[in-house]
Parts: sequence; C-alpha cells; structure tokens
Amino acid sequence: MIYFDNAATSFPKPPSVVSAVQHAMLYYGANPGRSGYPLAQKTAKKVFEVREKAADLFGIDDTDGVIFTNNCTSALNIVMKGLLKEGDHVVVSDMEHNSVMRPLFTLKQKGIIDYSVATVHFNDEQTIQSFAAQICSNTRLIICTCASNVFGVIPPVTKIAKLAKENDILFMVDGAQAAGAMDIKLKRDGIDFLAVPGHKGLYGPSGTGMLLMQRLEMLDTMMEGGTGSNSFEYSQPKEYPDRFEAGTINTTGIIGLGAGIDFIMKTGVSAIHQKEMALAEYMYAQMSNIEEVTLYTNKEQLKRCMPVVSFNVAKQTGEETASLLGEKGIALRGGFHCAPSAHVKFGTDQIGTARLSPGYFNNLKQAKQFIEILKKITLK
Amino acid sequence: MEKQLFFIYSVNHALKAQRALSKYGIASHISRSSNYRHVKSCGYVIEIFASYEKSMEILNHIGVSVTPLNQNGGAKI
Repeated sequence: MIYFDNAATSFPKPPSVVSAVQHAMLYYGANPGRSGYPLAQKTAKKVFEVREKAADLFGIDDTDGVIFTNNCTSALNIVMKGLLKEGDHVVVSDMEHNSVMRPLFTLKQKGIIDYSVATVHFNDEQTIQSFAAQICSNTRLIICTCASNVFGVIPPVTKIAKLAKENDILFMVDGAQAAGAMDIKLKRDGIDFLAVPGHKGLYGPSGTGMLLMQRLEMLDTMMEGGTGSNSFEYSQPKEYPDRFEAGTINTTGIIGLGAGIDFIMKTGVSAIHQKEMALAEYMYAQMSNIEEVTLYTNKEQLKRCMPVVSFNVAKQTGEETASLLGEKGIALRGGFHCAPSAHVKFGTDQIGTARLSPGYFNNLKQAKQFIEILKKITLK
Repeated sequence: MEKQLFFIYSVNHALKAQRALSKYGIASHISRSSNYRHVKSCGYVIEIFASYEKSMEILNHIGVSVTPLNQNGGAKI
C-alpha cells in the first residue's frame, strides 16, 4: 500500500513516536495530577514537558495556554461553545470544515448566535475585503482555516488576524492541515486561539489534539469533572489548563505527541513543508498531463497551497476514484471531506473529489507509482 | 537554607513554578498536599529554597496563585 491520506491522519508515524508511546505504556502508567507518589509525579512532569514543547512550537509565552484535547474538533468546540453568548455574531471563511460549521450551525439553530461567510480569493486584498464586509457591530469571533482540507488553499491568516485586532474581534484559526507543516506562532501572528490535531502534521497518536491560546480568555466549560485538585469545590477550577482537562487525560497519547513535536523541531517545519510540496507539485504536474484528470487549482495557485491536491477522473465521483485506486494499493480519501462549502466554491459539490495528500514519509518512487496506477485506471 | 512552603491547586502550576524557579537557580520540591496534615484542600505543596520575597516575586511574575504555608503546612497568617 502507498499511503497518500496524510490530510486525514499522518501515517506512518516517526519511529521515535512509536517508541515514546510504548515507553509511556511501560514507564509512565500513573495518573498525573492526582497523587504524590513518584510515578504520578514523574508522569505529570512528562506531560508538562509536552506543554512546554507545544508552547515553544506555536510561539506562546505561557504553558497555561496549552490545553490537551481529544482532537482538533474538541479544541474548536471549546472556544465556540465557551466563548459565544446570545446575540454574538461570527465570521467564517467559505472553506471551513464541519468541525467549525456544525457547532456554529447548532448554536445558530438554538437561536444563540448568527454567522456570516466570507470568501477566500487567491488575491489577499479581495479576501480581506470580503471578511471586512461581513463584520457587524456584534461580531465576537472570526474563524478561518489555516489551509483548506480539500484544496490546500492557504488564506492570508496574519492579515485576517490584523483585521480582527483592528475591530476588537477575537480570532481563531483551525490548524488541522497546517500544524507541523507551516510556521504558525500565535503571538507573532496575532492569533487568539489555535486548534490543532495531534495526529496529523504533529505526528502524534490518534486521540490527541490541542487548543493553544496566547491570551487566556475566560471561557465557559463544555465539560466539568475531576482535576485532582480542590475536590470539595463543586465549581470547575478557573485555573488554565486544568479548567478544560476534566477527567483522566490521554497520557500515553500526549507523550507520543511530545515525541512528534520533537521530530518536527529536529527536522524543521520548513523542511517538512518543502518535501511534501515537492511531491505534491510533481504529482500535480504529472496529473495535469493526463487528459481525463481534472484538477481544481492552477500551477501558480498550487504554490500558495498546502500539499493537498484534489482531483477527479473523467465522470467518476471522488469516492469512485478513491475506491478504484484503493483496489490498486493507493490509500487516499474520496468524497466531500466534511467540507461542503469548499466543494460548492470549487464546483465539486455534486461529485466530490479524490484527495491526494503526501506526507513527510512518502518518496518520489511512490509518487511515480501512483501516477502509473492513475494512468491505468483512466484508460479503463 | 531558607525554605518556603506554598500550596498550589494545580500540578501544572506547580511544575510551571518549579521550571521558573530553576531558571533563577532556585531549588524546589513538589509533593502532594496530603503529606501535610494541616492542609485540608487537595493539591500540591511546593517547597522553595529561597526567601519568601524572592519566591513570591517569581510566582507572581509567572501568574501562579499560591497560598503561603508555615513550616508545618498550616496556613501562614
């Protein structure tokens, strides 16, 4: 099998991550933050070290702003449901994943908030104008993906952050496709909240994610429970990050995530991005020579994208193409990728797309094999 | 050597404090508050081997909220 579904989750993981998970299972088995015996303390320290690594990678000053979650979706939900109050308005981009759109839609259905959709163009000025046009007097939050999970398009996040700041609006970025492969620094880039999965570009295990905050906004909790502290107080602690980490945390996963962050720091975000982009560009160039293949970004636009290439073959749906490729040993995702508005934007809302997303552990030989197999299925 | 005791609810804050203190070359030790029978609330006690003023200066700087304790672990009044 050749794995080109890294936008869904990265695979394989670096050997150091696999070792760290095993090591955690063997030597960090206690519950952190509950007890004082040495193993519990050692485990708590190990988890804390991952907070420090994450704070360093994403440019925040305080480890209190690193909240471990189950995935990126949880992190996004914590902010939307913890921040937004009755009468608030939100501006989102037209490329958001359902991890953003469904919570917003739910809040809107309940009559709590309203939202407007801004258009992302390949021209930054037009994009900013579109976001600015959607801002209302009650806009509390702007949410934008760091990169489309379907087409890889990168919106001008730092310019949107500036717009948000000028209008005294909080800004949240969905870093699902960018974390680990794009240099994101919250303080430097003016981002208030960054939601990231641990299991994609950060190379951690499934079931890990983080919410990162440079400024600690007091958010309501979505979930309350034990934190190992102040047990006779029924109200949830106000201290971050404990406030949002009720219940036993995923120690093994978090320690694995720490090894993933180490891998990124050692390899370099830029080196990872360049390698993945080189493979994406190669396959894009080869695919553009196959008559039956439809691509949705042009060559120039691809340079402003993450290494995610959506395509279709003849009149097949994306799912059909993915299924055919799957039979030939190519693992990639087909369909709508939980991002309907992105498909409406690119005119693929009827058939979806097949999505190619190379990762750091892919190589040119695999890319060439993919092209050969793709050529064969287009001849059928 | 001068030693201060402080109660901290969160293990994350205790570890953050320990990290900050070590940057100033100040040793500290974290233990569960249950080791101090006068402490009724559950959390952590950090022993800091520095003056009270210096300890508080660092803890305030990093935004860690603490309750000072006397040497028996009772609340310092």
